[in-house]
Amino acid sequence: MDAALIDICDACKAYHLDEVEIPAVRGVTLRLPAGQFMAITGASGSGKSTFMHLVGCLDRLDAGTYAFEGQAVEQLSRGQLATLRNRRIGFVFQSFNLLARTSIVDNVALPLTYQGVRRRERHRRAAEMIERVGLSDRSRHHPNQLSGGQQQRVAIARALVTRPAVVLADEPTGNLDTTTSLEIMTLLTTMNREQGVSIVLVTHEPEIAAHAQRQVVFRDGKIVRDTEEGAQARRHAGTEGAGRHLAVEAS
Amino acid sequence: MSPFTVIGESLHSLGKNKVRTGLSILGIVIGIAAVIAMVAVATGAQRKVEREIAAIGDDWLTIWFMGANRGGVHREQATPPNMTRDDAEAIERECSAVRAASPTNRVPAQVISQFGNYRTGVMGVYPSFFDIRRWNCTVGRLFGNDEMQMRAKVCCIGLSSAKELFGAVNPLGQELRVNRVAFEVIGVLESKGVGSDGRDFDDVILFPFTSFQRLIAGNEPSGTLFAAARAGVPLATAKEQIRTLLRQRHHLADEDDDTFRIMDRSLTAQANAEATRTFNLLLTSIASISLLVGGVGIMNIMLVSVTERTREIGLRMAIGAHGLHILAQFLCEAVVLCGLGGLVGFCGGWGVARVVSTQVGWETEVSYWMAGVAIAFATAVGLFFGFYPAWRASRLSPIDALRYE
Repeated sequence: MDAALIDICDACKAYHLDEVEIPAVRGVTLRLPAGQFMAITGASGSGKSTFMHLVGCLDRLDAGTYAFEGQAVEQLSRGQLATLRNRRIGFVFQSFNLLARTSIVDNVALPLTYQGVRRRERHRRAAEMIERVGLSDRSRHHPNQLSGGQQQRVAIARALVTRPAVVLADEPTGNLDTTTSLEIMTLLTTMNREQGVSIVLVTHEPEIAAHAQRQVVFRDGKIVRDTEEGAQARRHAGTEGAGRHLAVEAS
Repeated sequence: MSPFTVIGESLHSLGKNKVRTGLSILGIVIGIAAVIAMVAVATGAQRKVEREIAAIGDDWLTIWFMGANRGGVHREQATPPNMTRDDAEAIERECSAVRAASPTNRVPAQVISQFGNYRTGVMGVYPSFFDIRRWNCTVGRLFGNDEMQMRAKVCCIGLSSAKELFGAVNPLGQELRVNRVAFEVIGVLESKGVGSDGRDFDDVILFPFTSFQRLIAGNEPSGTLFAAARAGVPLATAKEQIRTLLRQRHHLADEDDDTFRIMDRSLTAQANAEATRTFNLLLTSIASISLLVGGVGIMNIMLVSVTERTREIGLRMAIGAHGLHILAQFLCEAVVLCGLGGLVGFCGGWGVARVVSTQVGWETEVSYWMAGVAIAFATAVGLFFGFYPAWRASRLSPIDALRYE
């Protein structure tokens, strides 16, 4: 079994609005190898954000299976999910989601506090990460003293400070101008290359998605295009074949 | 997450919005201040009553002699001149529960000294009276049995009387005159203060009973005697023994009513203390209600805070906070908020108590342990009222919280 970081099979998720069921993700199968930079694109309402929340273990699947680093996510408790998010997943949001009136270094160190890392060590690691995103001279500042691009770099530092296996970036350039967007994408690409961290990027802009190695397109809750579709299909056929072979043997 | 980190985060988060933090603890501050001020006033009042009881003692009885009654019909009877004196001696001799007994006689008289004169009640007593009433001298000495025997012309004088008669002059060794007889002041009695009925215990001049009877009262029979119970013996036992003895000595038949009344002076004081306690409890309860209101205020502000910070909660959960972390954070904020309120409230209450004692003149007392109790109590209020909002925050789903607008 090759070690896929994320292995989602037939994932379904629906929302309930006044007893009306609105399907958002309708049978998505996706494997993400460790270290891959993948972009998910699609029109708004195509289910890409919902899928992202499922991948980020922020929400649970209605149907299907999800294995993260080989571990069945459905079987994890709320607390175990929190620990998984804390240690293995980093988040970057469109609206940055930094804590106001809290210094940059404390913002970046926040995930480490939930790991019980001591203050000195937290600050050391946060400072290291802030240096990598090029904001060392601003670490004592507060988010409202930074530009949008700088804030997003702080958010990336926060996502990476725990050395996660994957960073999930939901429209990270949605609130930024073109030049700044480019900076952010360069930073993400660098991090992907230098740290080997997988990145799943959700965006509706094709030129942003172009930075990724692999593009996946969502429409109506399904994957309609995957630049690695062939490879995926081949792999699937292989496992299914093996399963059938085993079943035959058993009978 | 270490407790220090949690407390640090709470302080940081409360520090972000100082005006709101200040306003939200106001209820707790007022509540705690009210309780502290009330308890201070109550403790002061309690102390006053306790001091009064300590001053007049609570282990002695007064016995008054009245005429004889049978079935409500008064029968005039001549009182033998030495009745109380003989009774007192018999009581001291025969009642096992009695420590000491003294006959007393009190007559109004004009008292004259070199420096002033005034009309007051003067008393003749046995030396045992000092023991019964726990009366000591601050200056000079008390008269003893020798002076009783010799009918010495001496007296002990209370502080208020000393002021009336001698002003600023040291009364010790001075002379005072009653019925043109000169007595030497040999002792100044310690102050017993003013009773709750307004009577000045220090307006008193005490003479040896023998001298008093011969030179002042003119052998007018005395009608009152004092007796004190032995230590550890209930006053009621002493009372019963005295009653039995006196009925026997006065040859009362079973159907006769008592010819005397035994008064328990301390009962009045105890009733007084009880009333004070009830009043204090009432005051403190009312103050506690304001504390409760303050607690509800904290709950309200915490609920607002949880709603307002839903996105923050979502973010914290997304990056790995467990429900317990969120619970701890908000609970800690409520507790720190209330603890702070308790501290400020204690200072406020202490200030109010000071103002009350200096401006209104009531006695107040604030003990330092009350600071601890105030903060502990406020913290408990914080725990209680902070729990629900914190619990609600911890139950939020991370995705709903993140998407909250």
